[in-house]
Order: sequence, then structure tokens, then C-alpha cells
Amino acid sequence: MVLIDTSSASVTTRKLTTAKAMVEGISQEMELDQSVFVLGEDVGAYGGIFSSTTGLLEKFGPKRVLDTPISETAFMGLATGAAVEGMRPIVELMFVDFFGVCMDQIYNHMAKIHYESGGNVKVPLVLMTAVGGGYSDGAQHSQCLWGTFAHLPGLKVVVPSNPFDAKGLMISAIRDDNPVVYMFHKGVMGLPWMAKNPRSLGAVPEQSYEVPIGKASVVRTGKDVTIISLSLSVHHALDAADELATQGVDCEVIDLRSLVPLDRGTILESAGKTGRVLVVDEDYKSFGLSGEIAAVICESDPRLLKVPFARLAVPDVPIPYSRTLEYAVLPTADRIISEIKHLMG
Amino acid sequence: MEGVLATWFVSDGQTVEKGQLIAEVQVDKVSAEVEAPASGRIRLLVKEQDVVQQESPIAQVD
Repeated sequence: MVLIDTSSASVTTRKLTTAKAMVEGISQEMELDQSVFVLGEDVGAYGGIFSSTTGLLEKFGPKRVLDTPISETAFMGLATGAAVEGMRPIVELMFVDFFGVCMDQIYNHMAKIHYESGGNVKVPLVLMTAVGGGYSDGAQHSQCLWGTFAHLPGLKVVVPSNPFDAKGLMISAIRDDNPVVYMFHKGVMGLPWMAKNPRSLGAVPEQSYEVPIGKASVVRTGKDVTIISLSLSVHHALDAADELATQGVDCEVIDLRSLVPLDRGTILESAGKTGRVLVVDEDYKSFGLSGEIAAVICESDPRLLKVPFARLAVPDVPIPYSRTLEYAVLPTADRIISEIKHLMG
Repeated sequence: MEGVLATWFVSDGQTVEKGQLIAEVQVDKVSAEVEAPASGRIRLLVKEQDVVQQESPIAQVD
């Protein structure tokens, strides 16, 4: 459900970075609903280390934009408690890599209170967190880990790749009565001090709108092969598809946008159309998203595929600090092209 | 002081409103937003990734 018709002439758009689109989504919901507030490390005066909350403190003041001490377990618990009591908190976990110190609050409380209360207690909060590598930040600051969160029942998981989806998914996440984990890749934010990425700047409506949680987006249609991806890897997949088009290979690219719920219908429809599937995932390879998608296809009908399923993901190693070694394990456009050529025989 | 014109949020020849965000300039690891000082048609005088000096013009609004 997109609440506004974004193709209509009455919609005013202008170019924004993904970071600014996220902030705009949060800001519009804070104006609309007094129960929405933001908390986390450096979300106030600093504006979020990846600019996810820039300007919110100045606009809404310290009662609604709270800088917390460096105790993730305390402020995750605080957010969960506030949500249970009827607030709609947006809590930032600065890097997803830090989840270890607050995971009991997340998966035993935030994710399970609704179930444990027999559906009587709701936990309407957004856990937003920065993910991903590619800028030499080392093994403890470069992981994606969306597979880890998507594995746990009780949490929705959304992963925007561009400014339009970033704003619409943020608004949907805030309005959702369930805990939603909102994972933004630092490489799609359009930050001036990160690697330049033209796809992190795009047209965004000024008005408020929702992007539905659980609906994938076919961002490029094609007939030869399906690339299923998410987050920054969608940009690489589109770059690869542009290059492959000049060589006569017509790629379809799917941006999953949500892991939970997973849009199985769009996956199966495209797999059935092309018969060739490559999953590109910046999370670890084993026991994760890429294997899950293989299972979705096999459980439906393995005969959908004309050639064996393929996946490009981070081999099961920590993300290296060294730029050369890091790019040896991350999915890149070059590596996608080589996988597709292999699939095409 | 110098910076890098990191992002143009508007295109050359576009009509802009006074106060509209038009560019982001990066100085070390801090970025500064530039708003249109007046309404009108904008001409961009530098490209993205160009190094610009403080007080030097980056665009003209007619």
C-alpha cells in the first residue's frame, strides 16, 4: 500500500540522499504523532554517525531525541518498555555488529512479548541500525547480519537500497505495531565522506507515503537471468546488468526490500520466467538468506530452474580491514558479471 | 579553507526556490549544506568532486 500515487502530477519530488530521505520520514511521523521519539548513541547533537538523525534534535528538542549512554542493553530495554507502554520509539543501534551486547533484550523481550502476552501487548518500535562494509572499518564494524535477525521469529526486517524506499519503509516501520528492524547500508546513504554512489541520490516525494513491508521490487525487468539481491548489492547488480546488456544478456533484478516477511511470490515468478537465479548477498554465505531463497524455490518446484541455483555471498570469514582483502570477499559488479556468465554457460 | 563539492541536489538550468537545498560541500569529514540564497534559474559553475575555495562562487541564480 503506497498511500499516495507518486506518478500523479500533484506530487512534488526533489532529489535527496538516502540519509536525508530517512530523516524526512522520521521527522514527518514525529510531527504527526507525539508518541514517536528517537533514542540511541549520538543520535542528538551529532545527528547519527551515518546521518540517520541529522537535524532532529534541533527540530524536536531533547525530550524527543535522546542521546543515550553507551549501554546497548539498557537502551534497547528502555525502547522496548516505552513501546509496551504505548510510545512508538525509534532506537538506533549504531552498528549492527554491536548486537551481541543487547541481544537478550532484542530476541527474548522485544521479539517475544507480543507472543508471550497472548497478543495482548504490542511492541511498536523501530530498531534502526547501520550495516555493511566496503570502507575498511574492520571485522567488527562491517557486517550485514540481516540473516541473523530474519532467523528470529517476532521481528520484521526491512533493508532499503535507495532514497524513495528508505523514506517509505521508515514510515511503514514506524506505523507498524510490531518491532521492525530497519537495516541501512552505510554505502547507500549518500554520505559525502563515503565512496561516491550515484544510486544513493534519487527523487523523493515531499509528501508522506508508505512503501509496503514484505513486497519486493523488480527494479529491472529481463528475460535471461534473475538476480535477487538487497541493499547496496542491488546497486552492484544494476551496474552488472547494464554491462551485461551490452553483451546480449538480459538480466532481471529484484530488490527484496524486506526479509521478513519475504516476498516469495515475486521470487518464484521471476525464477519461473528466467529459469536462472543468482542471489547476491553481502551477508555471510552459509545458513543465511541465499540458502533460504534456494529452499523457497526448491520447496515450490525445483523444475523452475533450467540451470543449478547460484549464490554470491561473503565467504564464511570475518570482513578484512585491508581494502584489497575486503574487496576480495565482498560481492562486486565484476564478480556478479562473472557468475552470470557462468550461469548463461 | 577548501572543500569538495560532494553532491549537487539540483541540475544545471533548473528553477530553484530561495532556501532550497542545492548542494553539499565536504570539508574533511564534515559536510556543509548549501541553500539557494535566492529564487530563480540556477547555473552550476563547478562539477561534483571539484575542489572549491571558501567564498568562491559555485553557482549563479538568475
